[in-house]
Amino acid sequence: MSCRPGATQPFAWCGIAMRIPAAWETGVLGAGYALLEYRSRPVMELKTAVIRGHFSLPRHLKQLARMGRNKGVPSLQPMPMPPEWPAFPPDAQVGAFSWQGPRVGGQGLVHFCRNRRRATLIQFYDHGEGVSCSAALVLKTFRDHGPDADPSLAVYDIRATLPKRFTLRQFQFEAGRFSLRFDHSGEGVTLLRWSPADVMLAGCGGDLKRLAGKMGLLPPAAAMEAYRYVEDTVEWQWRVKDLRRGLRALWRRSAPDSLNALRIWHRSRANRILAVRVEGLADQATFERICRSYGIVQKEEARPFQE
Amino acid sequence: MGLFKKKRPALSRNEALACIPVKSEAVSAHRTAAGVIRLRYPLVVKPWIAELAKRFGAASTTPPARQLELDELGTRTWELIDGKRSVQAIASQFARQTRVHPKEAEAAVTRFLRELGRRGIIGMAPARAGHQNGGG
Repeated sequence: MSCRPGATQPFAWCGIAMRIPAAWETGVLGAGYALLEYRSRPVMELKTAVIRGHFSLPRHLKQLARMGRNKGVPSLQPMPMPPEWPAFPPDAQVGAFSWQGPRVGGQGLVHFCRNRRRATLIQFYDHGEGVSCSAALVLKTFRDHGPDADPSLAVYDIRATLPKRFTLRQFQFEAGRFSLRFDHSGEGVTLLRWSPADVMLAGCGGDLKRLAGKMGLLPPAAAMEAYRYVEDTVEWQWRVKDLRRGLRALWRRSAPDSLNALRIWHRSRANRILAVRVEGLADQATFERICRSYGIVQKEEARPFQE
Repeated sequence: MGLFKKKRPALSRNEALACIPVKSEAVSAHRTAAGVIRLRYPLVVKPWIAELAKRFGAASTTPPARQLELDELGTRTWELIDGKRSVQAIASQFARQTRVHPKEAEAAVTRFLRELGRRGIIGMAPARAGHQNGGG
């Protein structure tokens, strides 16, 4: 693998964002967990969580080393930061480590951001050829918080930017169908993706409206015929009687209406169908921003890694 | 008796992906008017059920058969099984043809092949030396 800046792609999951080589693929995703692969072998692993209470980096590293001894797996050794790895901001506590098993080894670091209280463990696998030289380049682009414009999600082939208030609650990555549900205090956003689009549409006469109906994306409250075209997308909006929301609006003397909508569109070049469904969203502008940010990841050619 | 059963060594992921699916000779395939493949395969009956059926005079010279109609993606995958391509090569070719994400292609193809294998429609041949990820 070349160390020269080459084609890269964004990766963002559970509050962590970075740029990774375009040849790396999303392998396994879990709550606060990601495993990336290169040629069907693990190349990078990531675990992250927000820490409540005291966090001691030396104690955490010691704990990791002890876990290895107990289970008979390779023991983890603290090590000085490799000189090619980047320096992290002063509000971050960072400790590097390495381990070596009979066939595979690894190097990584534990990063703790004092301001956000987020601890992240990143490790790079060594399958006998040394740790990928892309490790330093990936770490240079590592972010555990960033501006609102940064993608909050970039996995497999999808990316989206949601307002920071939303939390990922459910996700499902099945062959042909991805679904991710985010929510925040009564507001809900669901991102959907289907592939291959040509096969899906062939079963519905090439009609996105029929596909939405067939998939059961519209609730009974929404009339199938009450759609409108927004550029190259199809959109439905509907009202839901929500007593709690009505009372809250009365108390705040604000409009009781909130947005319930579904927008679905076809990306023929990528052969994907994308949809965004929102329930109880505060405003139309947020819906527009989410829809515009949601798309297919483009592997950027020869874009250098930037800090 | 499970006690004396020999444990089969589990295949690694790479070894499983390097296996070559081979169509059963007992399976016949024909294309329907809709352009998809319909498979006719012999039903594998448990020996005691076969014996029971024989006692009741239900046994015939030809074994019972079942039909399975593949969908469009199943048809595409079926056409890629040529006894030479590995599972990995079929998944890669499927990803190229349908423009799905390689990981999705791998998951969909392996699930489909597992289902065909369960019905006895295909078997898995071990990878030949130097043919680990070939084909495509």
